[in-house]
Order: sequence, then structure tokens, then C-alpha cells
Amino acid sequence: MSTGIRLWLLVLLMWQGFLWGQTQDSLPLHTWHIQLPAAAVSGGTASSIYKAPSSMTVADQLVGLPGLQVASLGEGVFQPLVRGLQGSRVVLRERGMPLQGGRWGSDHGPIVAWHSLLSQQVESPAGRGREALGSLNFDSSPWLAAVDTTSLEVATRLRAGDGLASLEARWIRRKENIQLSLEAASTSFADRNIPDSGFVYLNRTLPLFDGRLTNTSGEISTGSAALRWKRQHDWEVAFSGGHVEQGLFPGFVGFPLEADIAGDGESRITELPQTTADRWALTLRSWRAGGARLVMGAQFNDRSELAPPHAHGWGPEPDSPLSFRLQERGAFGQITHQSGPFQWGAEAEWLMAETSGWEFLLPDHQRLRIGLDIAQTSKTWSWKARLEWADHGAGGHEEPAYAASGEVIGTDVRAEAMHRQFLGVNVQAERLLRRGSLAFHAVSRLPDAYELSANGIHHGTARFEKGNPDLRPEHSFEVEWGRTGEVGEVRVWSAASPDFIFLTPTAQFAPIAHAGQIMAFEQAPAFRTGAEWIFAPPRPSRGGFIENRGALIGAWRLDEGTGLPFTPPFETTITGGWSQGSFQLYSEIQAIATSWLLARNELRTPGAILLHGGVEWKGAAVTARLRLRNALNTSYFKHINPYRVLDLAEAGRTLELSLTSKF
Amino acid sequence: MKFYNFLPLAAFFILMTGCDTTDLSAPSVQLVANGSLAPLEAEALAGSSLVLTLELVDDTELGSMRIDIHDASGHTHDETDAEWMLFSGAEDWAELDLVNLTGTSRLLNRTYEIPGHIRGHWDLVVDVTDAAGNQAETQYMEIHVENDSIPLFEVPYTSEPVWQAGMSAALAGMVSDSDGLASATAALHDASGALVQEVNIPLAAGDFSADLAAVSFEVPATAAGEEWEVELEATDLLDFTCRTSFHVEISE
Repeated sequence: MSTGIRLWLLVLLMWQGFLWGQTQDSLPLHTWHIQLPAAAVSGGTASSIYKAPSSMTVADQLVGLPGLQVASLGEGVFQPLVRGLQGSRVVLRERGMPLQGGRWGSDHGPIVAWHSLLSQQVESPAGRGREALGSLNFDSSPWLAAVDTTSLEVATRLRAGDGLASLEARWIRRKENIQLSLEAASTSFADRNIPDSGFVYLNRTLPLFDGRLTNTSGEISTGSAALRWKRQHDWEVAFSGGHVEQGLFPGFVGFPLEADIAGDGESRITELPQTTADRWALTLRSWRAGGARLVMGAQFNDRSELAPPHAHGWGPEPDSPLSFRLQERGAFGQITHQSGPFQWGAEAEWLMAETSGWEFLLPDHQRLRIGLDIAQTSKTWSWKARLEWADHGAGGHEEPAYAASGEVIGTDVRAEAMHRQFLGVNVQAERLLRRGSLAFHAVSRLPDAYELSANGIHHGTARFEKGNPDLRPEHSFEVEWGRTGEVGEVRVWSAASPDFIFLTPTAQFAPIAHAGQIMAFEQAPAFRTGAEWIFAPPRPSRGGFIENRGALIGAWRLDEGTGLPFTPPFETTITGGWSQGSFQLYSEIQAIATSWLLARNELRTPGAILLHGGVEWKGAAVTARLRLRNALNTSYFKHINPYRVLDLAEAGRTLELSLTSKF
Repeated sequence: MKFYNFLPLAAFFILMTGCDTTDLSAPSVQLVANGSLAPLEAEALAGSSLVLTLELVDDTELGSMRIDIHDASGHTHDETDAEWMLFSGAEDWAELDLVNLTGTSRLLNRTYEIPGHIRGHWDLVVDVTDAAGNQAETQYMEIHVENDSIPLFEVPYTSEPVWQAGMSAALAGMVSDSDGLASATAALHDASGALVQEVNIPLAAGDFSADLAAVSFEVPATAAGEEWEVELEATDLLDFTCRTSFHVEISE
């Protein structure tokens, strides 16, 4: 049976299952979403079913939801994964505007308040068929309930293990129909604690000293200001920005020596190599219940990697530490209008990116994307359709090719100028069942700039990665079924893609010693499926409780029968504890299975069992929490983390004290 | 939950049973360097050749090969601790050789000229892929490059020595040459690489060896916590020169 016939049969069966799943319910429609107020996190739509310990950071709460993970590459460099998908497949929005932000490679995330303890609303909005297969929207300054109030929210964290200290505050003043919100946060952290004795970089085994990964300390500062006013419409103008400065362990750029890894003994001093990132964003929003919504914005992102100058291959040493820099300027506009059950919308996004530095990875590029939406909601169904067009251009790049003697022997063409146009169509239909929902998505995703024209070493994955200028839009046909009950929620989903884009090893090696086998983007039929569940009976006000959550994901490349790269293994967490009034004590056992689905040349990641615990007290104005992570200081790896390729273990034991106050 | 909700999953597993046969087997590699079979250590003489013989086999189609020769300082290729050693010309010899391959079996010979002024240990790493991208297990061996021509520095350290800031620190060890030494120097560089102090190692005419203990450096108190570098250089009567260096940790 050919691959094509199998795939079409699969889609047919999925569609058949979708039709059979219809019932005559007339409940209101809903979408998959996550809301993260400070005190609780909800999975799915039943906000009462899963109460995570309060005063957890956004990242912690996200990780607590099955199917959502964070590939942590350090305190300031990480990226969420939604059902195993990351990179441009997961759009991050702030106040409705998609964030750019130095996202070369799939592991890079923009600067958002991931580790904020302040109240946040993070949701995956309806219409996942935007440019991505999943998206998360950050929103942190909702209206205060009372019309003449001032609110002050302050939070701090102190963590033993990696020496983290953070302080953040948000002040909101509402006077009648005007509200001003100001927010600032600052975080400092020391070198990462790694409970292991070494790691491997391109076959070179290097030791770790004193259980820490030297030169990985850093600082993050973020801030925002938002002004809201209410007339016929609600209006908001907001500014947000941030700065990250973080060391990169020796070996992140160039070959490390044992002496470099030993470092200077200072766990808070950062030397080269290091990364810096700056961003600011300005948004204007207007909305009215049941009427028109407008989002407009502009943003600037500047991200650099600095490293000791070294020649890549042969040739003269560069005279600057700037290894690679990506500067992005973007603008965004979106208008939607609702008229009864019918909704239409239009969206435009523009991006101009410039790259520089002595280590070429990505050429200058620009993109204009325009989308048109229509949506309708009836008693039993909601559906959306979207037509999307994008114009993508990238510049060429060439540099001299050197012989071992240092003599120029030719030209190394690293990128050829390209101009492409893409068209995508997305359709989404959702139907409520008696105690759940059934949804079908047909999604187009346009290839991103990195997938089209990367050509160099991506240090985050320690690989030479090569784009493919001939990539076509990726399509995905998804079915998702969910059921919600008094004691929990379960979701099962399947997605077939005839042209999934992913990195795969080629037969060629990089022409420079600092990188190994060349990985190139290609498209092949793929199938992904999975299940997520939360079992969480309502917690008593006084007494014990037990909860379980987990996710199982499978992702295959159909033409070869191998797994897709970075397919997360099965993971489940059992939480048990005792609560009495404002006091709560809990412990968690997190079990991560050995990775069982592997891509070509991908190594199996061993499983692990981790023990966590904590105690929490919630007073009238203050919530205090003591949280122990990885209590046994277990050395373990995450299959989804690119650093596992380096045999670089995840963080060891940490003990964190956090305090949040709201006045 | 009704049975049809399992249909997508069931369909997948049924359809997966008919997957095409895929080449997932990596090629095999046999590596011989100067007569030694990997992973044994190979011996080589500076100024001579390193001769590699590689036998490569794949069940479908070979892809490419990369030969990487680099100095062995500061890392290992197995789980053992890196051996502390003195190199001469550590950065002066490196090879990176890419070879495209065809067919299912190849016997290849590669020859690399070893510079005449180097001494120490180099790593030879060979990676091979097949046409589908399957990568063979990395072949690794250590190349011990001996050199009878240039002067020989021998020190008694097994790891980076630790010197105390604000004190005088004496070197230890010997420098020797069978042709007789013409000159020898020792220099101390700070963490930024700047020259702090240079000292002539005392020699008499016709000396075949000299004691490094005759050299001492004044380590300033401000250097505490830093890592400095000692550079040694000697030239024999036939004008062959050996340059080597090692790092020292400066404690408080």
C-alpha cells in the first residue's frame, strides 16, 4: 500500500469518526484554553477541576498542564511546546500581537514574563490555524472590578540551588473609566546547578566542576505600562519591554577546553560567550462586547550571541566578539467584527529582519502576511475559515572560502536571494457533545524564515542546520475529542500531515570542525496522535487530596516509519497532599518514560522519576510558598531539550521560597 | 465514550503496520592508523606521515566521511579524565577532511604530513554516513606524536599547578636536547595574555639539559582567582625550537 493511499485512508477514517461523533447537544460552544490567574490554573474549560498550588510562575503552571511543556535552556532562554510542537508552530502573543524575538531555531523564545508570579492570563485562543498550530496569548492588566481603586501586587522569589532572586511589582489605579497599570520585574540568577559530572560536545567529553555549568548566570529585567479607558468601546495603549543578559557555557560557541569549563569560581560573573536580548512593543487595542475588536502594534527585537573571536574553518580571526545578531522590526494590525453569530476579520503582519556577525546562520529577510477570517456560531456548531497570503523575501550572503594556509581559494555562498509567495487555507469546526467537544481542524502553516534559508551552526542544538528554499506550506488535518467530568478531563487527538516540515540528518558533514553532520529541513507525510488527562476530584477544604495528570504523544514520519525528532515521551505526575483552610502541604511524583519514538540517528533518552514537594500558606494579603524541586537531586534528561544531545542534564535540586502580596 | 472515538487511533495503528522498508542501519567503519587498529593508540614521528586505512561498508549506499585531527588538550573522547600534558605546537596541526562516498563498500587510504616541530597527543576522529543520513558510530583513536629533534620540556605536574598570589613561584622540571641547548626562556602571561615577566633559563655553553627550578616568578597579589599562563621556549644548537605552555591557577 503506498504512503499516499495510507494517508488518505487515514484522513478519511478520521473524518468519518468526526461525523459519527455528532450529537444533538445545544450547549454553548467553547474552545481549548488555559487561564492562569495567580491563584489557580485551569486545564480545559472546567476551571474547578485542577487547582495547582497557587503562587506558581506562569512557566510552572504551564508545565503543570498535560500536553504543555517548556524546553528550558536556562532561566531566560526557553520555548513552550504544545503537544510536542515548538518554534514557529507555537505563536506567542502579547495583548493580541504575535511576538517576534530572536527566534532563530526552534528552541528560541521571545522575552515574556514566563517566570512571573503576578497574575497573568495566558490563553490559547480559538483559531489555532493562524500561522501556527498552537498559540498562547499573554495578557496581564485586566480591568479592576471596582471603579475607584488602587491595586498593588508584589512578589519575590529566592531560590537555593541556582541562586535565583527576583522581585516584581504591579501597580494599577482605576478611576472611573480610566485605568493605569505599571509593572516592573528584575531577576538575577547564578550558574545553573547540574547534578552530573560532565557532558559531550561533538564527541569531546568535558567535565563539570562543583555540580554547576559555568558561565550560565544572568539577569533579566522587564517592564510594562498600560493605559485603559472606556467609552463606547474599551481602549488600551500599552508599552512593554525587556532586557536579558545571560552567559552561555563554554562550548555553546566553539570548542571548550577543560580549563574553560572550570571557570573562574564565580557563580555570578558572566564572561564570553554570552547572549543579550532586548525588546520593546507598543500596542493599541479597542474592543466592545459583541462588536468590533482592533489590535495594532509595533515591536523591535535585538538578540545577539557574543563569543571569543575564532575563525570558523580557516581564515582570519574576526576582530569583534559579535558572533551572530538578529534585529527584527515588526508591525501588526488586526480587526475583527462580530454581528450576531457571524464574525469576520482581517489581519496583517510585517517583519523586517537583519542579521550580522562573523558566524553566518540566517540572511536578512522580510515578510508580509495578510489573512482574512470568517466565523459563525450556531446552537450546535462553530466554524471558522481563514485565507492567508504571505510574501517572503530573503537576501543572499557569501563570504570568502579559505584554504588551511589562510589563502582565499574561492567564494562560499551561504545563502542565495529568494522571493516566495505562499497561500494557506485554514478551516476549523467544533461541536459540543454532552460532556465534551469534538473539533476538526484543517490547518496550513507557512514555512518560517529559518526553515527556508538557515545555513550554519545553530549553537542551541550544537548542529549545522540548513534551510530549504523549496519548502511548501505545511498542512495538517486534526481531530480532537475531549470529555470533561466532575473529577477530571480527558482529550484524545490525532493529526495527519502530508507535508510536515522537520529537520533530518543528511549524508553530508559540515565543512567546519565546530559542527558535525548537516541537518536539513525537508517535508514528508507525518502522523501525530496523543492523549492528555487530568484526574482531580474536588479538593476538600480540610483533608487529603490526590490528583493525576499525564500526556502520551506519538509522532511518526510515515514514509519511513521512524519517529519525528524530539517527540516527547510519556509523562505523568501524581500529586498528593493535605489542605486545611489556608494551609496546604503536597508532594509530587513525576515519572518520565524512556523515549520510545526516535528519529534517524536520535539517541534514546532514559526515563526518570522525580520527587517534588511543597508547602503553602495563604493569608489575607500574603501568600507564602516553599517549594522543593527534584528533591533527590536526580540527574535526568528531557528528550525535548536540545541540550540532551550534549548529554547535559537538567537542573538539579532547588528550594524556592516565594512570597506574593496583593493590596 | 463510544467506540468511534477510538477510530483515529485505531486507523493509525492499522495503517502503520504496512510501512515501507526503510534504511535505518548505519555503515560500518574499520580504521587503521600507522598500523594500529582503532581504538588503540597510534604512534607517529613529527616530520613523517600519518597513514590511515579505512574500510567502509554499507548495506545500501555510502554517503560521506569526515576525518578530524585535532590536539588532545583539554578534553577526552571517553569517560576518563583528560590527561594533563605539555604540547609543542598544539595548535599548529589540525586536519579536517571531507570525502564524498559512493557504492556499498570502499577501501580508502589517506596520508597526512605531520609538521616537524610538534610533539604531544592528537585525536583522530572519523565519522561516516550512508546516503540516507544514518551515521556510523564515531571511530576515535589517539595519535602520539614523538619528536627527537626539538628540545624536550618535562615537568612533574599532573594537573594545572596552583600558585599563591603575592608570593614567589618557582618552576619545576627539566629542559633537555641531545644536540645541546642554545637558549631557553620562560615567560609569564596574565589572564588577558599580556606578558608580565620573561626570564632566561640559565644555560652554560654545551649544556644538554637545564633545571627549570632555577626560574621563579613574582606573582602579584592582584592576580588571585585568575588563571595565568607560563610559556616555555628552547632552541637547540641545530636551531630546532620547541614552544610549549601550561596554565597555572592563582589562589589567594
